[in-house]
Amino acid sequence: MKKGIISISFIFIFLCFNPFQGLTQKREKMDAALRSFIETPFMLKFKDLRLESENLVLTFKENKQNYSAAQINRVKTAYQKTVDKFNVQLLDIKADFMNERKLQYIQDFPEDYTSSLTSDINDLTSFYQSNLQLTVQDVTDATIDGNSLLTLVAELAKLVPGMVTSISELRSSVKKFEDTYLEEKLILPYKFKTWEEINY
Amino acid sequence: MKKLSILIVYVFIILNQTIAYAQTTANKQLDPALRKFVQSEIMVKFKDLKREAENSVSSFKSEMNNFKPDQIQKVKSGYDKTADRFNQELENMKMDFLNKKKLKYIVEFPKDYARSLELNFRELAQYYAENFQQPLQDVRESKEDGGIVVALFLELFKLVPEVINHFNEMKEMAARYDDAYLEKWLVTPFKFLTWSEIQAEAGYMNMNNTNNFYNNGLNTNPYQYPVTPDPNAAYPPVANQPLPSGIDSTKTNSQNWWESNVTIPVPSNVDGTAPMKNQNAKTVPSKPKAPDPFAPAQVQKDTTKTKQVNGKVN
Repeated sequence: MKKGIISISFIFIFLCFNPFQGLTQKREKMDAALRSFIETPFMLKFKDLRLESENLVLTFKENKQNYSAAQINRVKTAYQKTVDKFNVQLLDIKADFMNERKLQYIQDFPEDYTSSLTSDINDLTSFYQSNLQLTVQDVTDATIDGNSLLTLVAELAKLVPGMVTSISELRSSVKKFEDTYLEEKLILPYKFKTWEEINY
Repeated sequence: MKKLSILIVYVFIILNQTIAYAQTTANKQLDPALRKFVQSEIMVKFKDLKREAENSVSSFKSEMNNFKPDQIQKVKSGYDKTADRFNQELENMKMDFLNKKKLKYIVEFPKDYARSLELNFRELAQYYAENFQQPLQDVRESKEDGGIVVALFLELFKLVPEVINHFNEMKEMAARYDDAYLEKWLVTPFKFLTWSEIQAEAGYMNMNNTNNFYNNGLNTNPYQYPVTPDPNAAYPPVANQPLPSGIDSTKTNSQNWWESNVTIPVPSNVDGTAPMKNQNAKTVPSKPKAPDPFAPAQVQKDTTKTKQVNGKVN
């Protein structure tokens, strides 16, 4: 009896002083779950979108000597407003990953979440068209048309169902994600850069 | 022991009856939360859309003799497909009300539900434009621009977030809703009629028109009653016949009589005097008045209001 108590106490003390084991396992689980998510066509397209938008700004910046300060400012404002919206969308996804109840909801009613996200992406498409694309076309006399970016955003909406399926699946292995982890793995690699950050 | 058993049986019977009574009452009366929802702007707009669509069919039917059968068939199938979609959306809404788990989520994550509903309405708008409005315009050679419908849809999109508040209010009451109850108060009044249920607009109709085949209200014998009818029997007006002035032919059976401004026609004698009361007839106790879902909800005293202090603004 005495021996039993001593060994249980040892196990308890070991577990208490060895939390890293649990943390590593948790991290591995999160890695595997998130990897399958960031490899979905939706997230790949999202990254393409980010790169394409940076490309558009670079092209404009290369020829900025052809435009007045006011015109440059117009494009800069339109770009910043548009990418802010995209970044908010990314932060919303992150918030959903951190909310256990929300993940449960997505698993229970994936169609609703799909429709909601599709609606958001459609709004982003309209916002891009009426802000950044229109301004760039206007300022550059359609030398830069921004159509490739538009095609990408429109395609993004079609990829939402697959992305939602991936969220439903990852929930079975991870109940919720941590803020710092998502910031490092989801936000930083996918966040749209600010106007000033885009340079050769 | 025996007394106790009798008492338990009595209590059980009373409880059973009380539950049955409560359910019957619940089915008859429109719950205030649901009333508020069916009276909400968004549902009013939904009904306006239904009326516009039915009205378009009604007008089209009255000029069907100008079109070829294949053109009519195109418009007819377009309308029926569109009506099906709208009715499916109503059904989905009903299912959401019946799903307690879903209701809980809607209240918890209102934005998601609102956005998904908005997308559904946008898809409906697109479906309406492509499948019904476009064929109608093609066949009529753009006699109808559909501007009203577009405006209605735009208003509908804006009103979607409002739905969530209603879901929130109904969360508690929803436990009492059952399929039949929601069918009665939520689906039936807003359901789009099928092509064959819509009558042609009152007015001239070429009775020799072969295209009348598409209008199910018209057959060789316009009445669905015997060819030699009882002269004393009163039959309802036939579809596609000019209706007496003052009656809106587009009012359909899905509309509740208490919504229309038309008073219920009282049978009168030839000279216009009221008919004599049949003394032999058994007096039937008057039925309770049907609840009016569109009557203003009873205003509850707002105790949360703070007193306004009249202060001068300098």
